[in-house]
Amino acid sequence: MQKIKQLMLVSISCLFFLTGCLESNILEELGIVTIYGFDKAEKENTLRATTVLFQFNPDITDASQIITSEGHTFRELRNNANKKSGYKIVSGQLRTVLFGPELSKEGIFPYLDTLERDASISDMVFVAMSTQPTEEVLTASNYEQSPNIGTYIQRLIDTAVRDERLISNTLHEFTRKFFEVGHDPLVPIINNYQDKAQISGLAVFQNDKHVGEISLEETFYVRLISDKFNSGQVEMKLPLKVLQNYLEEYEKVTTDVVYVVLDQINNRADVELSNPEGLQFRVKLDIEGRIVELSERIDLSNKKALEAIEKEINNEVVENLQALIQKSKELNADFFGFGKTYVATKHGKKITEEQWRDMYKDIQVEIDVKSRIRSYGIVE
Amino acid sequence: MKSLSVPKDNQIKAAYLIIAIHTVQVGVGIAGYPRLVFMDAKQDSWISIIITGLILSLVIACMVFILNTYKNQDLAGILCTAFGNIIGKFFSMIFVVYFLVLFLSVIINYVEFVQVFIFPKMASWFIGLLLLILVWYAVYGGIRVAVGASIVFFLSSIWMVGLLSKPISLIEVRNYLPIFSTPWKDVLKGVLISSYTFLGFELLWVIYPFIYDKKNVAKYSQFSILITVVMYLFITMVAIGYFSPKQLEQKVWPLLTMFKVISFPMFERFDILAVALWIIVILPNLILLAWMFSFTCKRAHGWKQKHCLVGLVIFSLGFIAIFDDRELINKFTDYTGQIGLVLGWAFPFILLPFAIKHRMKGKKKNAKN
Repeated sequence: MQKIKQLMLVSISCLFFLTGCLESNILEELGIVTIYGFDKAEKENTLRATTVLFQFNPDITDASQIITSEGHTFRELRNNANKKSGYKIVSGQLRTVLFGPELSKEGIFPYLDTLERDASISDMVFVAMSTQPTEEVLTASNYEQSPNIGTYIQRLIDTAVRDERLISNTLHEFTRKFFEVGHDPLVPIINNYQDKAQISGLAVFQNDKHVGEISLEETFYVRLISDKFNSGQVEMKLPLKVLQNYLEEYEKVTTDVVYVVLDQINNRADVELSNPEGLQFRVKLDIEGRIVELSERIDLSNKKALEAIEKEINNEVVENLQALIQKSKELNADFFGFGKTYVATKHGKKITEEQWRDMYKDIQVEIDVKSRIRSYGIVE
Repeated sequence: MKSLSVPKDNQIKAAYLIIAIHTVQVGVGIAGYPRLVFMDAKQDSWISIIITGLILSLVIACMVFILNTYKNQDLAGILCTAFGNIIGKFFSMIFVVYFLVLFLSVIINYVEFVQVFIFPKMASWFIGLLLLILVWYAVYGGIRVAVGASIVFFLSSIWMVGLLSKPISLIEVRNYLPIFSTPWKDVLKGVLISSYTFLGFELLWVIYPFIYDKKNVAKYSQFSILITVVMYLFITMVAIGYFSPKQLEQKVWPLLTMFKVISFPMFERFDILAVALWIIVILPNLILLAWMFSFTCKRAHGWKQKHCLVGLVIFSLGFIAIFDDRELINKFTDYTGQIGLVLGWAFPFILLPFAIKHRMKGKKKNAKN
């Protein structure tokens, strides 16, 4: 009995001490990758990767470095990059992957797939693209107070997503939409402008291929249907004609449009397939917001003025949405996710990706918007 | 074979069954389960799970009926009473091997998790050794320690369900629609594939004589499987909503992948911690299975339980060292599921006629007296 107790004691203390014998990664000896940029290299079937490395070391002031390497596969790229660095390159802290223009045109899924298979890479990595070679973007020298450009770009995207200016596009979300019938991803475009990386719009992808672009302003309308706002913001251009009667007396009119900024926007979108044979969809949109800015002084205490503004907002939203839907039909990329609704409806048949592409051009969307203005700042 | 008379200080309350049975059931299977059931039953997986739950409830009712008939007997005892000594011992031997197979399938699957997610270079036998020492230590203390450990581990791991709130926030409701569109044949296939994940309820066969208030066994064991079914249903539904259909079919362990989006300010990558914490989920699994194995082994052969346990540890170590290939592990797990279908799910019904006969005999005896 005594013997067994001793044996137990020994083996349990082994549990504690032996754990130190495992492979160890010492933080100071690691080159932590925060962003990868992938481009096509001149040689056929080769990739050029720009790796932004970051070292945790209190003694170094400039702790980030940029390495470019070429290779056929992701591992080879990493190994080749490691030839130029004394630090062990690890990608567990990867935050963003950036794809160059040629690769985006050809399809980026093969590269994302390798990242997804790697258990050490998080699913919350942002997928972004650039219309310039990625090296150009990643070598921008102005990245504010961030420790390196990778962290800066991650912050750039993250802030925009949290502010509801952008549609989140993480590795998980991208692959989810890639595999979904009737839903295409939107990818933020990061470009170098005057030596600073910035978001210049959203790329429309057909599956994993870049086919077109929409502006950040248009993103708002995509979000209205496919996502939820908690406190969105938008600027709208309304014709002044209908609001002429409600102008304050002291206002001198010089233009024929009035700009309205709404914030604290809440939305509720109901997309339904109203006629499966005719591919007719009906979108019911409820928008609620607050006016924070008006380019012309309008008497907002007048109920009728508010109603007129709401009505104009409705028209504006419908107009913009129809234009965007038209655009997405021309690009044949369903970033609103109408196909998803079609598949989820019982009347809709089980369809393949190609079938939906053929059908998508013929869909008709009827939009019904109801907007409501809650309050309008601290001055009436 | 003699019926067991368990001393009072070694008995446990029936209420502990709620957690004991649940913890043997939930283990490595759950990590891959949503995908397996989804591949067959698609968005109607929930029907498959509910059907499985109903069947399981029937199986448990049947087991409790048989156990009540033979009063104070465990599986080995019942088999000997029903089939005679030689055939009974042979069947108990089969069950001993079956428990061993269950035990091994859990441990090799967990070793694979660790290697894929955290330590790719760590030797299989070494991870196995670390686990087996703990298992040995807990089983050595006897059934009360084993059940106690399972309760402690259950309470210290159940909070992980709450972590799914992040994946839940990313759910796409349209993934569940349209409902009732999967053909019945596929839904039933989903039921069949669920057999492995729900295994472990065989614990009831072995633990029954140790229970202090036997009249409550039926109630608490049913309650226990209800918890299991609800948990599986919940996790599967979250996985279906979170992944798009084709994506889910590609993920080997959807549950662990769902942990990949969770991040806290102090834990950037929670998935790595989750795999490490998964040890808490599978330890009660291993402990109770090892106890089942060693106890049935003792009952069937009269060997000492300690020796059976040491044998198990040594054999498993060797086994883990050999089985470290994904292909092999998958095959082994599939076979385990198939064996479980017969020995776990169907066997109570095979025993049922014998139990009814036994009961009738008992009644006649009573009538004569």
